Amino acid sequence: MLKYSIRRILLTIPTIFITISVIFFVLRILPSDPASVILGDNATPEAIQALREKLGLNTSVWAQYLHFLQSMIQADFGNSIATGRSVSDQIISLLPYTLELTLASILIAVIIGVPIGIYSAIKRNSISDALVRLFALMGISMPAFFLGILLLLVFSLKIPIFPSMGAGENFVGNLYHLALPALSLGLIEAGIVMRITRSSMLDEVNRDYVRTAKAKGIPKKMVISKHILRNSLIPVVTVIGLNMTTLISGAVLTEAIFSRPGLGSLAVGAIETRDYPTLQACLVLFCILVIFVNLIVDLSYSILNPRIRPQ
Amino acid sequence: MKRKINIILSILIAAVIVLSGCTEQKQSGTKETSESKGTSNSSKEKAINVAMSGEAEKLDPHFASPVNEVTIVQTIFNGLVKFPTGTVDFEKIEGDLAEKWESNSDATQWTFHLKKGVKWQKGYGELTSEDVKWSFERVMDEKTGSPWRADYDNVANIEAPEQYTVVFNLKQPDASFLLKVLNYHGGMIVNKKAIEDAGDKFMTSPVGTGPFIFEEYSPKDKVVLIKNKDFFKGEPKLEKVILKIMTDPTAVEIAMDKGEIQLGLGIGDQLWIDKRKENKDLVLDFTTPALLWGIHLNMSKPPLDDIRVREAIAHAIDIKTYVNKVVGKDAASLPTGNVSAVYFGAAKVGAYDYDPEKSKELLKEAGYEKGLTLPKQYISTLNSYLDIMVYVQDQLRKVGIEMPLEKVEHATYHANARKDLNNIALYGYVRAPHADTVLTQFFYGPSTVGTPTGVTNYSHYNKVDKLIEQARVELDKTKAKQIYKEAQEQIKKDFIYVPLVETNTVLVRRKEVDLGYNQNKIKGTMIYNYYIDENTDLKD
Repeated sequence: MLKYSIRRILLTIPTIFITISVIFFVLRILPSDPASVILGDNATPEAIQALREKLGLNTSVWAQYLHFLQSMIQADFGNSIATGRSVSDQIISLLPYTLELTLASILIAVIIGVPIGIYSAIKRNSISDALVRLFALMGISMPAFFLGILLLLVFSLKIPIFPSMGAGENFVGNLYHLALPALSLGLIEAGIVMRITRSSMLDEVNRDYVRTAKAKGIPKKMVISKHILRNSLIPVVTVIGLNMTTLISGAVLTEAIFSRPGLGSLAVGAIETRDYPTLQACLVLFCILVIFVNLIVDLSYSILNPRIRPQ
Repeated sequence: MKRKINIILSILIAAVIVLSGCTEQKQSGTKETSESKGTSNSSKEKAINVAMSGEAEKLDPHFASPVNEVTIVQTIFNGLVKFPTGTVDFEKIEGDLAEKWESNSDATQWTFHLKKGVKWQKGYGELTSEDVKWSFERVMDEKTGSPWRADYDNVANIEAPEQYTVVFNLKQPDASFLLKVLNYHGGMIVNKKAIEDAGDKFMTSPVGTGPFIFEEYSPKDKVVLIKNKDFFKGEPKLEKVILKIMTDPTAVEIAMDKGEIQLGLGIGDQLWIDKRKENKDLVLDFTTPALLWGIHLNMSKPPLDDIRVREAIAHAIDIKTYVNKVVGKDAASLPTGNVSAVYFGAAKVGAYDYDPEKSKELLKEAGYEKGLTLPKQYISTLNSYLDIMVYVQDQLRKVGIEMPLEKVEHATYHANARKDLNNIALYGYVRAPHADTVLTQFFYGPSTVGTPTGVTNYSHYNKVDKLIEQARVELDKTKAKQIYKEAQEQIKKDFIYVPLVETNTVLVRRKEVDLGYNQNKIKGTMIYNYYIDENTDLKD
């Protein structure tokens, strides 16, 4: 197990190297250069050239690449082209907002999605199952920003129990401000988790081992929780892992609607201003987080299912 | 199994809670940590909440962008002169940091006498002429990298002969020099010592002389300002100004309805305006100078080098329908000419008449009886640009001109236009409200795109260069206006620019806000937002 984990962790290193190289070159292919974006459209070409030199954009791409790799190894993301502030500072101040939102929505998705999925699988083809599935389908079909606006209108404007914007000033305020955004993402995730739980439960229900367990006279509750559920959790964990990675980078719209700071809006802003250092750092961070989440998912397979555990 | 799930859930919950604790950190401008108070209006102190449409991270006025960021720096800094707050009128410019000013007879030397006893914020002492000299020299220095440097190309040198006297010596006469020393962009006066003290963080450590002091900046979230008790025009009525970054218009609406936000930007769309007018808690303001939108036709390349083709395009677009039916009367108006009406020197030469039959005839004369397909044009994906250009495309099609469009992201669009890749460039802008600015940037030979001195002359036009140069040195306002008129008439005759629509900036405020200037009305704004000054107040 330990050997497997170590091998799995070491394998992430080449993956990270390749991805950050791709990120670097893709960014350089983008048309229009940062200097002219910063200076606006009534700047003279001389001014643009001067700024290009100042930003180090006049050296060859390979020189820039070597410099980039060197600073990545030192975990130095440089300073933002737009503001001159340290990119690491910016990311460190925004990362907690993004992570708390991601984790809170996953939490909501699991708490709601898994039990309902189990319930719906047990009661399959009943009216309650149909109703639950209908709601899940609605959840999946609804874009997060739309649900966000609905939640805002209902729970902030009509029934004013939650604030409409911001991220809170202190610990309690933070959780309070987190409620609506986390719900708007979490409810949608819950729909997905519920459907996956249900279908993978149903896959397992008719397996031989279940029949054997039932034949042995094990109570139904035990069969479900000990045997079926455990075997059907693997696809659920996979889906949660996949969605977690999209939530980290893709909560831009939700951040906008609830006027929350976050990495998603930092990255989008950096694209608009061609702020290479910031954008690079965001993408590198996203890719490391994705690799990290996948690693956890992989390792959790072996915890959930001993058969996957390598010798 | 259940136990394991319980463990995982508890870990997740713990993580969320720990992270909520982490997000408290923020970058504070002042050392003293003020007690954190809610952003809502519930607390007793008078705090105004302003919605901003995008990130505000460059709070150094010499770098601040014309939207959002300039709204913030406007309340922290002062210029030598200013427009009366809430209006934009070149002929009514008044003193800000300057008590009075004069120029020599040929407008090559401008002398400003500063007010005495103006204090810098955060204990940086009294403002002197040396500060003013350094501030302008900073913008003019190429190493600074300020986007407004070119505005001061004409300044030969700046002198500070006495503690309260600053003298600008110009290379060429400039009758509209006051526009360069307004409390706007490069004209805002910064403090040398404060910038040096801030080091790398100078962009987010503004120190000025204005009514509000920078307190806190949290990235992608908000900027907080507190009042400057020692402000030289009197103590501000508001305790605090909170500028909140809200990129989603629906979110701004909800927050305004709830009263969590008092000032914000509206949307220039008649349906939206009519709906918001129903809310009696709100006041809508429509401000000038309007953004003037028009297409620049490149006369140097075929087929647009033929004046008949350009004229055909000019007469083919039904701008009345566009303004009245598509955009709506509150948010837009018909252009009055090639220079926006409120600018000094605008001659109101009028837009082109809609006459599709004439267009077809002209095309026939030019040899395009069977229709004309223009080269591909780039257009920005920004809705404001795309909507207008698609309308133009549709109108041209009706007279037999095909204009294929390729959508590119906004920054790329401008980059391409500056590289002279567009034959028909759509551009919407607000500039310092003076005919010289517009004519120099858009219709002056040396400003032709693709040349070393290029700015935004997309048309490759150079027929009024002499007139522009002549007007620049004319101190007599009546004579200057006459020359500007001649230039604008010539531009109209040459069909190189087709004005399409003037869109006003739509602003929304809650009725409890007392702007404190211009009889609680905002007629003009250079910052695409409300001005907040020492007299702005919240009523109960």
